[in-house]
Amino acid sequence: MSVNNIWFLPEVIVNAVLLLVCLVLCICAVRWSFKNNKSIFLITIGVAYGSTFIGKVYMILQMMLGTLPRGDFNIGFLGYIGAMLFLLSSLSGSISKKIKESEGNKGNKKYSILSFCISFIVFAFCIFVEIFDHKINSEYIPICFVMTTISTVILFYSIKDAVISKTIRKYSISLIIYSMAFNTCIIARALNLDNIDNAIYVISILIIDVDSVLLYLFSKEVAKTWKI
Amino acid sequence: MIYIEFVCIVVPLLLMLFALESKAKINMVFMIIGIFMCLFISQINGMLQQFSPNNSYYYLTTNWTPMTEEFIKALPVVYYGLLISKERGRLISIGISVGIGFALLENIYILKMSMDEITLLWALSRGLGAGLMHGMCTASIGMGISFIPKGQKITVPTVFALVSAAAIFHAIFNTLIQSNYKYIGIVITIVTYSILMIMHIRNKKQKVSRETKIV
Repeated sequence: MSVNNIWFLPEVIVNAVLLLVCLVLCICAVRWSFKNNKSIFLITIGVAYGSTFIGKVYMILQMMLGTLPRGDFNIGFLGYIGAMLFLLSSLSGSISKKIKESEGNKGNKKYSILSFCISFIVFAFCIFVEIFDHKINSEYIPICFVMTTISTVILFYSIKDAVISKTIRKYSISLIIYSMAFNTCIIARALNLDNIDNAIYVISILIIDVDSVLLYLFSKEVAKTWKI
Repeated sequence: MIYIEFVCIVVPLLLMLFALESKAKINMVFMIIGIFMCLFISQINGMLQQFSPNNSYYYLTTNWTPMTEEFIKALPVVYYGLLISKERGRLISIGISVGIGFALLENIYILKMSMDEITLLWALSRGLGAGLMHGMCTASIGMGISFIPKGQKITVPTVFALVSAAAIFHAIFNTLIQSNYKYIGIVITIVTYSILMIMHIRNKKQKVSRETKIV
């Protein structure tokens, strides 16, 4: 990301917005959950925002000190991984239990196979792009694989849940968008297409910005309805 | 040298164990475990330095060692939380004990390494900064584990997510402490600790007032 690049400023702006959005939503989610019977579901969502925030803070700090390792692994990525794992926990924890209670096991297998096929196609495409590019360093590839894998598992769960349960549909759809935008972000970093890759990156971070707010609103709805 | 330092610290603590009561004994045991974890990780970090780009100590301490240290420090807390008890207060105090034990040996090792630049201010800031940071990171993992319901499949991702968050906080501290803004690093840990303490005290007061209302 050089200063001469016309996408430098938009990149900084969308990332700064993400930083602010994550901080505000983290505080809101934790405050709301402590006021409403310590909703563990919303605490998990809040900590996911917190994880993204702290990862971004690390990256900004390293950037300001001029020591951010370019192309090598940097621990700020763990912020995204942590956030994804927290979101995964929110999906596969009390939610799957509640879905089983309210919807039973009707057609569960069919929808599982369907969502597995879709997420596998997405996963295969992402991995293909990440392996066959020449832009990122080989040390950076494993971390891309890990991020893609976790985000694809989230995709699998959220597609399945969106089809099965009406209560959680909006939340699951926003998670699908989040996961897809996140994968696009990684691919944009891996592609080498003059300025188009930077544009894709900026747009996907912008989508994550907006979707983060929606995710919070929908998760609050779910927590209210199911009291989890 | 670190083995000698380890023995010097651990032997008197082990002897003191017999004089302690059960609750304090558990904390002391976990503190000794924390000291042992520091000894263990020092060897692993030594090996990792060979693979660090350009053998860079800065890169190693701001990117790799926070991950390895937080992972190793979390193990006794995770073990206790998942197999023995999920009581929040206990897990937090165990987490702090492991972290403080870890910081103790680390501080002595760093003191020995940089003997010429040591001042009282250095000692105070190191003691407060590293002690609080290690203690808080491990305690937050303990606190997080206490929220996980028993026997659910979310345990593994949640534990990894908690370790990731703790590792980044650790990395931010390590970055600041090695820069010109080292006092900001110490202030951040003190402020975070103070906020958590205020929240903890308020929570306790609310609990007590609720219980008295019921009575």
